[in-house]
Amino acid sequence: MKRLQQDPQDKPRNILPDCIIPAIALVFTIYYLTTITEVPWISQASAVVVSGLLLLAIIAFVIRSAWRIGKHRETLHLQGTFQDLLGFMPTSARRIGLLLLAVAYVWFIESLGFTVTTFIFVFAAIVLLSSLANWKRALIISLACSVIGYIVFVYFFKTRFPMGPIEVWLKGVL
Amino acid sequence: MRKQDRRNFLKLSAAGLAVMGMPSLGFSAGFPERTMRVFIPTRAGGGADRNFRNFGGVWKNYLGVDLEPSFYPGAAGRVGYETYMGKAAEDCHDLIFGNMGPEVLNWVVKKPSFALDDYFYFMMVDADPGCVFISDKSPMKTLDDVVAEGKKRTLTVATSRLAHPASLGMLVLANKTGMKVNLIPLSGGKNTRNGVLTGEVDLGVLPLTTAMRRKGIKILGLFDEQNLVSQHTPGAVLINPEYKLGIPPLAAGARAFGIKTAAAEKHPDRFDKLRQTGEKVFSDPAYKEAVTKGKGSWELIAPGGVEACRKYVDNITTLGKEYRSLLTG
Amino acid sequence: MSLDFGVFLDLFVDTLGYWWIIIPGTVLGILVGAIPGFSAANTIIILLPLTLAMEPATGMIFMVALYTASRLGAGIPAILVNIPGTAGAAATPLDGYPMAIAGRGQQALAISFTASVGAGLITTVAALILIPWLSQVAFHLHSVEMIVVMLFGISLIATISAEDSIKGLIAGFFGLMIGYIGADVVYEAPRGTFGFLELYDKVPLIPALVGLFAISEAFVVIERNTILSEQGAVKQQQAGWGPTFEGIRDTLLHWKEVVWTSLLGLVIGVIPGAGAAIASFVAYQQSRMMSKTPEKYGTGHVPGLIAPESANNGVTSGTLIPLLIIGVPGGATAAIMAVVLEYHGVNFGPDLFESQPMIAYGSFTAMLITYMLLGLLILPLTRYFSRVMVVPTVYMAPILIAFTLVGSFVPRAYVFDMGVAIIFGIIGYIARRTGYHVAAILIGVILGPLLENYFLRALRISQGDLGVLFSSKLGNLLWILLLLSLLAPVLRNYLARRKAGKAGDRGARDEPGA
Repeated sequence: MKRLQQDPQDKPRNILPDCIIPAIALVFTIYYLTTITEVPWISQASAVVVSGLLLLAIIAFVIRSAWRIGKHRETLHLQGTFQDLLGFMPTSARRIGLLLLAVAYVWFIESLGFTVTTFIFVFAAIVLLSSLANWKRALIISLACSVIGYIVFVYFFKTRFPMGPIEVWLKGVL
Repeated sequence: MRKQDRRNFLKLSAAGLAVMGMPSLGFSAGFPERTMRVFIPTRAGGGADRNFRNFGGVWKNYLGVDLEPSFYPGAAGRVGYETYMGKAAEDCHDLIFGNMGPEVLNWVVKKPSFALDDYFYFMMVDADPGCVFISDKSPMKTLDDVVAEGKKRTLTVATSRLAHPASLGMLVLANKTGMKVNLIPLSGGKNTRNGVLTGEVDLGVLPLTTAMRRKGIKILGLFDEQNLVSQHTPGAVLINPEYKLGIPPLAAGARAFGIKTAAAEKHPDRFDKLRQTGEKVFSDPAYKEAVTKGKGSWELIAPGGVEACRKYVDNITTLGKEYRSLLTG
Repeated sequence: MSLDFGVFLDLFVDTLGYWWIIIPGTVLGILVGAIPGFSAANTIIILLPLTLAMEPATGMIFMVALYTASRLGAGIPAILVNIPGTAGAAATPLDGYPMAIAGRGQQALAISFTASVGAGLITTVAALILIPWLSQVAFHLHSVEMIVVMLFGISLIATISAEDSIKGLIAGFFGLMIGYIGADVVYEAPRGTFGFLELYDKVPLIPALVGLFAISEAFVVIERNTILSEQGAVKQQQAGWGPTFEGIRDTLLHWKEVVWTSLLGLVIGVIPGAGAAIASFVAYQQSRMMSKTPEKYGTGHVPGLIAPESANNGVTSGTLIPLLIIGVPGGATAAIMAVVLEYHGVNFGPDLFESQPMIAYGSFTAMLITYMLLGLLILPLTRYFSRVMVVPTVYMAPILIAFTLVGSFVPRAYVFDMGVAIIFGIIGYIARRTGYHVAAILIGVILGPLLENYFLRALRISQGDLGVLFSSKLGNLLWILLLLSLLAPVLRNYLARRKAGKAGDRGARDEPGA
């Protein structure tokens, strides 16, 4: 969503979170340029032009930020950056938890197969976001997700999802 | 069907059988015990897909199980091969089906992560000669016109990709005749045809089946020594003898099944069953029907065994190395 | 190829006889359109064994119905949960999603559907009339002209980031750099692939799309109870049929917008290699540029939703024309249709309209019928689909993530792509939290490689001479139009300020920044 807007009259806005995207872009661009040193010029042309433009935009951003910091409209400090980025507890913990679950989902889908992994992920994520008190509903929803997912993707559309024990068993049964 | 190749195929198969001492089917009775997985290093819906559907649709009757294609397009086939070599089981249930020419030329440009003899092709399905074509709106009407024009100015030549047997053919032709060409890789047969049809480039080179019998396209010549489909290519010349190229017939589309060397070595009986059953497909009328129903030409179906495949791969590799600098820029 | 009305009517009635295949095609189309990752092209490939077994005309009508409906289906998740189901719907959430958050999801769906159906009907009829001329477009748009067309789309980066242009440009250029990952089209030299073979063929589009939009969104919305804003939730609760009719009315009031953006889509659809994504970006950009209230775009503005939806439906009929007449498919789905028709030995060309009218004209009449059918579905679909919005985020976010990760897997069947979606989800999340426009990144990722393809091709043809960019008459005309469309807002701003300055003397300043 829209970033957390702060009142301009309020204390100066911390600019550090805003530097993350330019930093990622810069690091990536430098890496990219190192990979094209050996290729023919025609394959370098577009990237060189765009990386130049990107660099200009980042320089403009740095100059503007420096100017604003000088005017005390913005500041640069680590404190509060985490909250700016992830929100306050418990939302921040939930966001990190959800990300870890998503990574685990992708990590385990290869070995456990589509159906089981989807079930565990949806169940765990709902419990993470609400609470264990909600477990019955979480169970129903995650069960529905994996069953419908199986029917639609694996059975009907024959999508080549990684086969886990359940899929192998179901394939035998059906 | 190409006669020579068929003879060669039968001879080689027979030789193979003799060496193996007629392996009884009993050894491989339980094979295949699951669906065969066929890795295809190009996009679904492309030429290899079509060829595979035709062949696999009949082959499954002899194998007794389905052949399930999985498509791994990307990096001019590199992704498919790397995936196959990385993932395929060594039990003869996993095969690769690709277009040998352009895919082997990849290795000339840049070696893959696996050793080249970790896999080999064992069953060639077709030999689709490279061809030169123009739009029927082009002011040039014959290959001689093209050569003459190419001596006056640099001609733009659409091709599927640089590292492709059809591109090589064009380079050899330019080299022999002194015409100047500028190869424009347009990624894939469809785009190559479009480039020529819409007049963006002067002419194009492609495997014949990808170009012939299409509206607005005229085939000028084939990089071959015989024209098996002259009914579809009126006026097309045989470039190799006509312009004395001094190269073997350049099949630009030579689709073949390949297998991991380790799999064939571990299970010679299974590998043999694959070869024997595959061979039967070529004489099955259902296969002929499937091929002729589409835009394919039965005449270009060219069965070939391990040796024919190896010979083809060697030819292309040698030629590719010769023109390597032009392929890699 | 000219078609008189009597023949048309006969064909129309004949096509109605295929209702038994049009209805399942339509329903399936809406479904696969709404599932991210399942484009019409993918589905048709999956269903090849089925379509190949049908009679060519039946198969074609089925594919057309599916394709048509999928376009409309893709707008549903784009509006309601900020997930464009396909790249063609990537511009739809720009104004659709803000409407949905504000509790106007049902109305937004109605607008999108009405615009889609209206655009579809208009362009299908236009296509039938204009076939002889439209089929020639492909002959005139070569790499050079396509470079300019792409730049039209890319200039949207500047437009949508008007709020903070430096950040917008950083996002856009970053997106372009990401788009340049992969082997180049000429020498196939791998660039910036981090050593992953899976990235040789560029960054996969669907994972980037769902990552930037949907997964980042899922991380964001968990701080709210539902996707809806507080006022939105109240509004949604009270909704009956009203918002649907309101949406239909809104669209009809903007009928001019529907007409010209759909025709724009039609023309872009005719160009091989352009497609729905570029059409909707260009339409959105042009619509905003011509608007009297450009500042409202991106906040849930009706024309901002109509433009991309009309344009991408215009593409649908456009893409078939070059296929049927010159055998050059206008897009990916048309290319698959070509495979099916070729399998049946159908020969493309003007004579196809004589020899097999049920395939040639039938494709368009089937499209008309599908759109009519979709028109009937507007009422129930909008009302019940928009209920999705009240699902609490504690359920919504996990389902969204699972669903979209699955969608990222589908097109190429690489688990790797699910990882790509998560990476883009993280980038998208940071971008949203820190005021960078994710759509600007996405435009770069989608159009960057296309632009580069045409650029490299043009350079290769000219043997490195940059002068080729200004070598064609049509190209130069397009350059001028591009320049004008970029300068127009500046110019109008200036004029408005002068006018406001004069009016300001009299003490009236009603339209700031217009």
